Amino acid sequence: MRKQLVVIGGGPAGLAAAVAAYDAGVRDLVVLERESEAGGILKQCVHNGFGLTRFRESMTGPEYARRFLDEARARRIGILTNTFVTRLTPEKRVSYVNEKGAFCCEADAVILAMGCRERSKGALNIAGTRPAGLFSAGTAQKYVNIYGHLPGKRVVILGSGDIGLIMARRMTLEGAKVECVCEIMPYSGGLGRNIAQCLDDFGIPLLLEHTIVSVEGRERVEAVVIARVDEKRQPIAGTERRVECDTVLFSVGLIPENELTKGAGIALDGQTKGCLVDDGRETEIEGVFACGNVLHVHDLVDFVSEEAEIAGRSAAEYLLHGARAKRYLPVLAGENVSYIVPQRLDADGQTPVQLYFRVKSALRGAVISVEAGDFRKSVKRIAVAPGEMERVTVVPSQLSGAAALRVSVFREE
Amino acid sequence: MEREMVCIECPRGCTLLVTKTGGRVRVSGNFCPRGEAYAAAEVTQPRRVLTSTVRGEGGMIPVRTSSAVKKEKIFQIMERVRAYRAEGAVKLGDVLIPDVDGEGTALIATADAVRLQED
Amino acid sequence: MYDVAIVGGGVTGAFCARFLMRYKVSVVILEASDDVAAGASAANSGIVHAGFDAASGTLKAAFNLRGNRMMQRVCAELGVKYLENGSIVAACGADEERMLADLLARGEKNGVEGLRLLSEEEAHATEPALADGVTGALFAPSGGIVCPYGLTIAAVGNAMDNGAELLCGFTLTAAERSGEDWRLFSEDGRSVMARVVVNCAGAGAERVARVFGDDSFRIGARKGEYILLDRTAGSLVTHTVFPVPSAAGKGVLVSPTVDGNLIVGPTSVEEETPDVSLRREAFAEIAEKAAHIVEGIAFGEMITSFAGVRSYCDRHDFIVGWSRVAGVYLAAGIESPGLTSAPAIGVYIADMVAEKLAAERNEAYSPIRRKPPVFREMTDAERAEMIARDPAYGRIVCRCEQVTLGEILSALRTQPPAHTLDGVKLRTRAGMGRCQGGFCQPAVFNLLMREYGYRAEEVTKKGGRSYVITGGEL
Repeated sequence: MRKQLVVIGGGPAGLAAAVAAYDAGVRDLVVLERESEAGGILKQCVHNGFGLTRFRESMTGPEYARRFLDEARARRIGILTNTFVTRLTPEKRVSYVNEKGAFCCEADAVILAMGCRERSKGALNIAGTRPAGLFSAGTAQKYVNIYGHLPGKRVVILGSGDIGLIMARRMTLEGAKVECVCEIMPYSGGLGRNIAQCLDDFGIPLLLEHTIVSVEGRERVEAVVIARVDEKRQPIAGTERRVECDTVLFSVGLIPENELTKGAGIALDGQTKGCLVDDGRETEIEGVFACGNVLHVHDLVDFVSEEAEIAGRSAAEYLLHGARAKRYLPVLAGENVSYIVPQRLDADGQTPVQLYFRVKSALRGAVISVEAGDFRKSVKRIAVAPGEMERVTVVPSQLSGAAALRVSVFREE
Repeated sequence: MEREMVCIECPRGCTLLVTKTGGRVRVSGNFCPRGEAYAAAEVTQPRRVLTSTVRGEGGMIPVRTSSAVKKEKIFQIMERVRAYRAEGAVKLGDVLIPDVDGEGTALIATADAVRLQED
Repeated sequence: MYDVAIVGGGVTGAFCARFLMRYKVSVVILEASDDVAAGASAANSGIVHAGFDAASGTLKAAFNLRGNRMMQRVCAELGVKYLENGSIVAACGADEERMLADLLARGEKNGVEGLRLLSEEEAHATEPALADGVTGALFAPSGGIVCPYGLTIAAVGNAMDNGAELLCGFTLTAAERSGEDWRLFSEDGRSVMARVVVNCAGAGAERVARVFGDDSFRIGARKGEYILLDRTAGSLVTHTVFPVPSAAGKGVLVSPTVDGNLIVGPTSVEEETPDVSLRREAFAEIAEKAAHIVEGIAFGEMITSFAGVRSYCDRHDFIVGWSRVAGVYLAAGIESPGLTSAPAIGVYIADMVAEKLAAERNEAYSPIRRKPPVFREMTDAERAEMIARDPAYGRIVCRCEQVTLGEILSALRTQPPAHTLDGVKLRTRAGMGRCQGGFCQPAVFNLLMREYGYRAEEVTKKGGRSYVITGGEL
């Protein structure tokens, strides 16, 4: 089979990218989706708060996904569900399987939109037993919201990522008692509004600089031992406390699912764990684009959609007008910036480009500083935090002669 | 009375300072008017949009309240949500319970009810 | 009434059963847990030892060598992955190098072939990831690796295909003599009759022996803790790298697994009543010890950590053969290298029991277990053909390990069938990858419900009361 464009993943990123590519003129395209329905993780995110930035209304996950699914359907964009991509080659051959067989599609362009996965409990140095009752927060969310099973009655949550916070509220509403949320860092990895409405509303304590050091229980979880940590994130002896519970949820970070990307030999950014891309979200391989959580983990789906549309339009541009030689301007993460996307800009770009980045540490009163050769720009923020993605806009062609662009974040004087 | 709170109206999450003297409420720290309204409601009658699921014939159906309900009534409303069983086909936007809080707020399906798949 | 009851569905019991099926005997395996390979047979290093370690003249040395020589063929017959990757004992400094010479001499006396000492240069050339401090090594080309629970499951499955029965959840608590035979009682009230009993109860062997009035040996237990790293870290070493052994045992090794992961461990912890919980200090201890022999282990790629209880016997050798009680055979004290030795012990016990029962050869016996299809290992053409035959092989359930619906259904329908999440995981690798079941666990959960008619609150992780869902239905 041949296709102009193959989109790998039918979550919010893949759907928005496909729609944008279609609207830019691409007609011969297909979306490959591994689950039985498109929509990605939004299907199980039944809470509201999606779409505030993009649609100026507060939507639930299924409602937000439905909007993009309806857009795709209106354009009769083909979505193959229950279809799993097994391999991507640098020549843009996409191997996939479904119940009809094992196939290979020769694509002129590919958009990677595989999303991310939760960092597993297995990756943590937690002592003790390995009984039933240990769940990634998203797994528990699937049990509750899709299948209607409540994992347990007394819950301790490790990690204050948004999924953990959302699940603290969800399980409380369904009758479970959430004993506490332990966060190893001195600040939460989740949005402030989620701490307010998911924890504070229900009197659930958020224990900053705390971790779970061990799990007890032979068959099912019976308790965890939690402890305060020092500046090196090591448990402090003597601060241990036993908390009885039957369930532990882990919300300890998300990792882009780049197994296919690695298989195609595309280099990844050590910080984002996603591809290195330019402002069109094109990877190092011509005609291969990436967007959404497979590129870097976003905290708002609104930005995923925005980024996916950039990738979709670039893919269309590439398909309809051919590859174009580009001069690149490297984009660097400066002081207090953990990563920045895209990692390079088309130096001759005339249109404004949004740079997405995360800070390393939280600041109240911050200045975002952009430097590129003689170009200087600074933007003030009331507060910045690692859990909340920041954006700043530049126009590449106005940075003439710069060797690199650097974004730093300083405390406001 | 002075209270600091995080606005939940949007992801920006402004830190609001609310001062209440007599019947007058003053709000600062808000980026937009929604913050002011939120803070004023928080110190008089806090409200939340409630989201949950109900059991349908083919599996769980996600639901939300049509508008924010009184925070103090949330567990009471959950009792009704938990007891509810949806019958037949359900479409996104369908009203499942017309008055879920006794004040005219509806419970609405936020997805079409589809057959439960094994994954 | 069975001819033979085997107490214990670990690797030793599995091979006793499997080789007994070469005779016309009826066999039942009595397993206390809800699945086979529940104890040390699941939580160990998966090393097929060459045989230089055991003291010469011991049963351990003899069975180790025989088991090592049998392993390749047994694995081929059972459809289990086996790799003769070679073992290296890495010495740091002159004192340890002298011990290599002792190991070499002992190994040669035990009959191990191909052993040779490597100079510092040769050692580093053979295994480039060896730590700088390694000054010499013993190389054992016949050392190998195997999936220990895969081997156990396959051996039990092959025995069952040949007519053996498996009773899970059978905790032996009492035995009564009935003429020449034994009536064996389970904690839950079930009982079976057997002419002969073989005690393969691993860590529980002493307790089981006492049920028959035999208190002639003691089984102690040590805890061994392991770290398992993602496949991305699995190619660091090609050989199994051991430190020089000490009184505490073989020490913390670093080895690839047959599935491409990297395993590091075990520690060796003496405890009053060892359990399968990891100590807090285990992580640092394993990393520190492993660093002496191998460099550049990507501990950041850890996907799981676990502990196993490894039994040892006060006689410091295997006890294999007749016990002092008539009709009861022992395969007890099967400490390391028990996995390697299991096929040899199985043959030995089976032949001995068959002779006692005057059993005839079973001409219908097939040593071959048809390997369940593994999507991950197929070419695209093979996949297409498999999916054409059964579309369930086109549905990926576990994305990390690329396990299909077809494979999971097969694990529920092939002897010995999986009844738990871990049972499916051990048979198919669903949930064993980098996300550790985050995505596929609910799907496997639903398949267990559908296949066995379980209610949600009846599904367990690993049998017993390890219920997955304890909060009820919404």
